[in-house]
Amino acid sequence: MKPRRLRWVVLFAALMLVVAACGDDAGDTTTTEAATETTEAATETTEAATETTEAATETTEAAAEPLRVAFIYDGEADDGGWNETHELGRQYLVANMDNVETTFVENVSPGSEFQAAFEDFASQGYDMVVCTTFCQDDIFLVAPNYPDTVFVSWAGYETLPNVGHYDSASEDGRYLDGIIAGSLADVTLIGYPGGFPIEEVVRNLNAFTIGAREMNPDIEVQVVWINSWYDPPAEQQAAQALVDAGANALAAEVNAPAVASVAEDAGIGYTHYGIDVPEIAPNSWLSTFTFNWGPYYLAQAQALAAGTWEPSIVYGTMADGIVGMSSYGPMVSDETIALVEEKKQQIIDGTLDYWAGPINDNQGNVVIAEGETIPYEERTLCCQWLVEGVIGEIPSG
Amino acid sequence: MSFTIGTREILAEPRPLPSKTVRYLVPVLSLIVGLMIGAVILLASGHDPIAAYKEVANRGFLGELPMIGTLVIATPLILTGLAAVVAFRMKIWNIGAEGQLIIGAVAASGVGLALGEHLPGWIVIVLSLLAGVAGGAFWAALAALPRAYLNTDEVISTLMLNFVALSIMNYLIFSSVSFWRDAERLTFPSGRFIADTAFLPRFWGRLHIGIFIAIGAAVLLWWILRSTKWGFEIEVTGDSGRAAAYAGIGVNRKIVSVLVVSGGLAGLAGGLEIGGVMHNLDPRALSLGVGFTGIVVAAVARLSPIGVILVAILVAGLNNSGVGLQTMGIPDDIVLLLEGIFFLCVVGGEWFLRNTIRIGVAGQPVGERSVP
Amino acid sequence: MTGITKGFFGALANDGVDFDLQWGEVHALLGENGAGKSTLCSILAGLYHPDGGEININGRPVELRSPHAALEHGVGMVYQHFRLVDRFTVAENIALGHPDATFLSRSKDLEKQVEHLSSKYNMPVPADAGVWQLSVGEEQRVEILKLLHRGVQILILDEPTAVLTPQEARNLFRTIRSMAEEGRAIIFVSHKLDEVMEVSDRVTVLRDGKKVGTLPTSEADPASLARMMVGRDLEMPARREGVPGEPVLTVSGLTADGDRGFEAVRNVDLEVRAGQIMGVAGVSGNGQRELAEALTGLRPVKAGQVFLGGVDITRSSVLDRIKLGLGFVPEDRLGTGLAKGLPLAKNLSLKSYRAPPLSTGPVISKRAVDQRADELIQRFDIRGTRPGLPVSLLSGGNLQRAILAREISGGPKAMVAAAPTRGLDVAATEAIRTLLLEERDKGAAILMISEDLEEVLALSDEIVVLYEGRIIGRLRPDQADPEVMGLMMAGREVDLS
Repeated sequence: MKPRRLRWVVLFAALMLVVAACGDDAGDTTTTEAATETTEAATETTEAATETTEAATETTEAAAEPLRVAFIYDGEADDGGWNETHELGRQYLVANMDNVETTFVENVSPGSEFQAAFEDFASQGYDMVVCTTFCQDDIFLVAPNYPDTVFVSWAGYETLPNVGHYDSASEDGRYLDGIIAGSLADVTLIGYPGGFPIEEVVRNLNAFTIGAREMNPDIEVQVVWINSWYDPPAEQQAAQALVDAGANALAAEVNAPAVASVAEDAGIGYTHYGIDVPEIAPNSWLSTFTFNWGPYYLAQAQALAAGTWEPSIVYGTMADGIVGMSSYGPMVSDETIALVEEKKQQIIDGTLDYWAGPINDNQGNVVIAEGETIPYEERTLCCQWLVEGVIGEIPSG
Repeated sequence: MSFTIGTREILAEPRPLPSKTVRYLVPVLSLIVGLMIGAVILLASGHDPIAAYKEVANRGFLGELPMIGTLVIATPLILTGLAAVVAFRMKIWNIGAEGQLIIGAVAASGVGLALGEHLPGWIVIVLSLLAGVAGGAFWAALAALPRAYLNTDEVISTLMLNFVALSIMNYLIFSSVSFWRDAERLTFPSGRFIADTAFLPRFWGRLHIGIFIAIGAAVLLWWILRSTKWGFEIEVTGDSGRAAAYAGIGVNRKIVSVLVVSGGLAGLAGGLEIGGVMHNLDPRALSLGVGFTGIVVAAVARLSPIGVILVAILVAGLNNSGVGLQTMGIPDDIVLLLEGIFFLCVVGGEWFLRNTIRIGVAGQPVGERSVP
Repeated sequence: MTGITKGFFGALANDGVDFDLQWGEVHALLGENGAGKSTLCSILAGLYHPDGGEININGRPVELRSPHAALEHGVGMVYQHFRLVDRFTVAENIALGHPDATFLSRSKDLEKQVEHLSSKYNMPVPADAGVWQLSVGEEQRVEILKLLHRGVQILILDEPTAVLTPQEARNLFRTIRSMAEEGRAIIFVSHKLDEVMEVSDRVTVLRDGKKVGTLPTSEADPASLARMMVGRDLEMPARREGVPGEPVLTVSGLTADGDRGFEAVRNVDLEVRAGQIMGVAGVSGNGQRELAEALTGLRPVKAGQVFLGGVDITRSSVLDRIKLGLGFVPEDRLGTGLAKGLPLAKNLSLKSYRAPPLSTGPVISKRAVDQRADELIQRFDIRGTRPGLPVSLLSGGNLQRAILAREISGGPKAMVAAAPTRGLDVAATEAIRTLLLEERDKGAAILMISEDLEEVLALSDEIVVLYEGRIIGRLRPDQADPEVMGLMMAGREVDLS
């Protein structure tokens, strides 16, 4: 829950009463402007189909103006987790592109707040709005009215002429994380607190388990569902319970650093989630894959500036530089690092496919037959099963 | 209550009946004090207060888009504010509007999904909103019955039921393939969409007719509280439970009915969010603390249903202008600090409304001088 | 203490009271409700400041500006309502407020000290238990231990037996004696003659805020104490006798529990006839409140039956009783009889808003409510406010007029009136009495419960005396003399023949 965001606004209710008077003049102009813009938008929508190509030309003409990009985060920009990976991506964009102007807003929530923020930026003439969580439903309600603004969002699966999406093959990195954790001596049980049992999380869990068991086929991975994306006490509790149950390494697929501190206290290896912050567990830190959204944002912005932007659904890979690997911690041996670097290169080259069948689920059923695999295009459909070696289950209902 | 500064003794006494002037002057003064302290903080942190306040006006209220966004956000806030008003009037502390809203949304989307394809749109709309009301009412009843007949503390039970409701909703979408979840959407779990014939009609941009329903509910509640036996009984019971029992009012049944109405209003907020804004069950969009903010709205509106409309729109407008403030570079943390000061001003103002201050010389009888 | 005077809102609760207490004695303070016992004790305990008079301890004048200052002088009081922290343990409560107590005090040491004290004075309490687990009697012991732990030498016990079972009371008396034998001085406040006779060395009787006298208990007997306590000339005001008609309110074998779970009303039989006022006399705390509540439906009946105009209302709701014509003037005017924050007009419609003309269907007509309020305000001469202002701004007499106006205007068949003139000035008392008598003459059956003997004698056509929830005597006003009434109120059976 994030009551925080709605709470603070109450303050400004007070301010409004006084400002209403002095804001009047400015207000009138805004109203007229807004009205004009909306009429324009309406006319444009009707012609949108024919104008798509023209829009591209217009953008080229406007190239002298800086490209304006807005980022919308549903949490704190410096949350040390998911939103921070996107904020780093924004900074990458600013550092690597001339003539771009970016802004970001934090703590905006899905639903009416997202919709209002999209409208707000689009009506102010932003060229691109980036929404970094699952925003497709809200975008679809607003985007058709603003054909001159491009919207990109994480994990969407349907495009519009001005709406594209992106996601990443984080499971490839997760597989390498599994190799690192599995290479530790004496590790037999790895505890894995996960957020919700959704496909993406399960996919990473499976890849991790495949990697770990490549190093040591006796290793089992025990998953505990936190049923929240951010719940430090629950994460801490789950991690401790796993350690008490005999886990001799931990991996987290949740956003708080609680699991890291449990691992650090227990003196066992720890695999983080998505961002390179070894300082949260200096001794226990093993590795994590990293989300590197920067190259994606840069590519989208450059295409838009060049007038070549097309709606797309990008599944970013290690080859694209969108998935990377973090620094390695003190427990990771040089041999392991060499092995991981080698396998990473093979994944980039396309010569290593850890999804190649036969792969069994943890019920003993063959889920990927001999000779089959899961290509990148079908990755998001995976997985509704837990791979052999995972202790746990996907709740069904 | 009294304390001494030097040789001066400062005494506060309950003010029997605040005069009209005091009642209107005190809130205005506390707002101005809040504004000025806010301005100082903004200045100290290197921001232009006038520009910030203008941004709030321009992005939250003035103009078509800001007003649409504000009213959409205000709609559920009005209803959760009313939910707090009706319960708090009787000194029943329902802080479970959050959970009641969620269960209302679950029920409304369930009905919308089950019937959407089979019945005419307006029937589905009516039925699903009624389901929202029923869902919220049911969730409140879970706290109301033990409160009325076993005298359990409703603060704790309504609060805990919020978490239960949230878990249920999360389970339906994130942890199971339920009736509500769209099994086809695998990139990120979300709810199935109700049939578009069952969407609440929109009449101004994204603004759906829910705003009229919310305002209508406020006016209706105002009239009910003012002019009906039910409202009268709430007034008596809220003033004194013993007097109510003495007058033959069934206090336990009153508690249940008030909590059920309160929950129903919160549930209606959930139903309107489904029918008017999201069209599917999305846990991320329904766990924003709208239920808790409703309590603040009701408190600032001093439990007046009509006041709730106004305050909810103000709060929503500020929320809506938040994007603008952030693009100006005013960080969230500063704003949180300002919020704390604002609440202090409001609470302080209320205190001045209920007490008169007298200053005398310590150890001597206090004179009649009074500082309002 | 000499010449202690204390006034509240213009009425003197203590008027020039002299009181002396010797080391090693148990000194009983006896008097009716409102005689000024609690006020006097509260002044000694530093809770109130006297308007006049002075307090000397060991011959030196002292100023006790706060309970804390009183404790410094070794004076401590156990109030009727205990002041313990529920969540703390017994030992923690006892240490609380002690000047030597720090957060570092070892709880084991503390518990040992407490156990030592409690065995010394024969007051068993589990030192490590939480206060929320204790019985009322145990809580009282903790209060006393707390004061002993702080070295209190003058101990005031305000009606300590009111909340105790007879067994617990006997234990308490033993503790009191042993404390006195150690040289402490104990003030024992009570209105129960037997207890005073049993435990005290000397007795001071207060009446109407004044001291009647002090005498050694050995020279006193219950009858003389009762006379001192009730005191005033019980002459009958001239008034017309009622003409009793048919029985309207009939009560047989009524038994009901009090808030603490004891039986507070035991096997009460009553028959109130139309046109009759039946007075229920007794010292407060003997089941009066519970009787009134059981009759009006606010308290469940455990056994027995209540009939109103031939209808069995034993299990009827408050509302049904109101509808059958049972009026109620409660002891607690602001808070029960009236909703204090609501305007007078609304309070006046508290029992009639459900039906026309005040409401049609679910809707209340504000105009009709105001109109009715105007009528009643005129007819009953309620002064000092406008109908739109909260009733809490009214004076006591006008509050009572407002309640009576509402109850009488409902045309009751029967009415229960509790302490109808308590705390009212002469004029208001007269007006209220007149209203009650008029109502009687119109044929209402009135059960008047009062701790004020004068009131009972002035109004009643028949009197019963309530003691420990039982009716201990029945008599006609002409049979009542102070001695008889005093003895009955103190729980003695009296043979009237």
